[in-house]
Amino acid sequence: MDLSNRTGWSTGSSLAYMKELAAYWTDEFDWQKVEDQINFYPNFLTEIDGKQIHFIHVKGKGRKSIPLLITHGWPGSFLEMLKIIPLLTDHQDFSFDVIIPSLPGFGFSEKVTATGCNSRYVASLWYQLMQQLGYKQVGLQGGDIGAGVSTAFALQYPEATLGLMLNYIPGSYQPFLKEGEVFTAEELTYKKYIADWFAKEGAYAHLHSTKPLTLVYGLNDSPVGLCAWMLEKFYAWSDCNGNLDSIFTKDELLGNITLYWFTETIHSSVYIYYENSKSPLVFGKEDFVKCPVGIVKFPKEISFPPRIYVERGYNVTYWNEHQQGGHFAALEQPELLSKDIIRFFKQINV
Amino acid sequence: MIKPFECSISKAALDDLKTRLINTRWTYQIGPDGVQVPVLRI
Repeated sequence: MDLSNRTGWSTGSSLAYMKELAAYWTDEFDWQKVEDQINFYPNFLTEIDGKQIHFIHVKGKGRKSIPLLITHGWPGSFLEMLKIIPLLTDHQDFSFDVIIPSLPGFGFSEKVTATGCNSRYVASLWYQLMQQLGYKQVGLQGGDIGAGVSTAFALQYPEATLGLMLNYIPGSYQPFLKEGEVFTAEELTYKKYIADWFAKEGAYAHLHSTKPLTLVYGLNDSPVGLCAWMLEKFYAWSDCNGNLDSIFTKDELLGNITLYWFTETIHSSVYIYYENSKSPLVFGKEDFVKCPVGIVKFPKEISFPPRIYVERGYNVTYWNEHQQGGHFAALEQPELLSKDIIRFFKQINV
Repeated sequence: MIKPFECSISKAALDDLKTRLINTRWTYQIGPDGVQVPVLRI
């Protein structure tokens, strides 16, 4: 066995980096600072459909301010979104009332491992959350699982959706092809790429979707085990160019991982993969996201379908591609993402 | 009913995390020469 590759990342989270990070975690990391960042914003708990849901709600300072519901994914959390809050709420002319819930089973939201807690169900919880907050309509933003939840919301509650801004296309999304329609060569190339990607990089998702319980005994019992499982994705999916420290601070990485540790939510968080695998976003004949849809593409995103593939299922009115950034857009490139969000929602004149 | 929430993790949880980090069973160690060797406990 070649041990030399354990300093690198080719077979998983680098041993050298894990040791460095674990030493920092033990001796220097200050959770109190994370708590201060969390508590700087107004946090709330509410009960929806018998489940406790955590969310941040910050009112915008603009003369015009529209509600924007931002949904995170895995291995992220609501913490990913903290940097983007002031960029969306502080403008004097046009701003957002930002609502950032924790998905069920993530962070301070209740652990739900009951059958049926998939993206479509979470969308129904978000609809009720919107109503509890007194809004009749919201704008939606999301990446990763949050893109699936936001898409489901827009499909299920079109009358309540002002617009949908995605920085990721849900992995299970498949548009409906009318009789006689076929995918273009570009789309077929993308589908081949996705199949290859899943074969090489998708083991984690397959495990989450099939045997999540077996996985989590170890992860819930060992902070380093939990850290390694999650960190690999921050390395692989971000625009870090082989150096995690170039794009994230250790405090940012460990704040998120420590949140999972303290709340013991690794099982309940990965469980949504299991539920989503039984309810993929395969669009039927009647499924089309009719509201205005903005798409922002960051170059190091896991994968991104060609525009035509997206337009088969979404009413794309805004498309922007950046030269830097990855999967964790709000954390990696909060300025770029916030500018796109503002531009898109201004453009659709809500 | 919506109610305010404040994050506050207990000292016991913080101490438990630190203890577990210190007691991590690393599969491989990095020796002084930079070469990684499997941990052998006998």
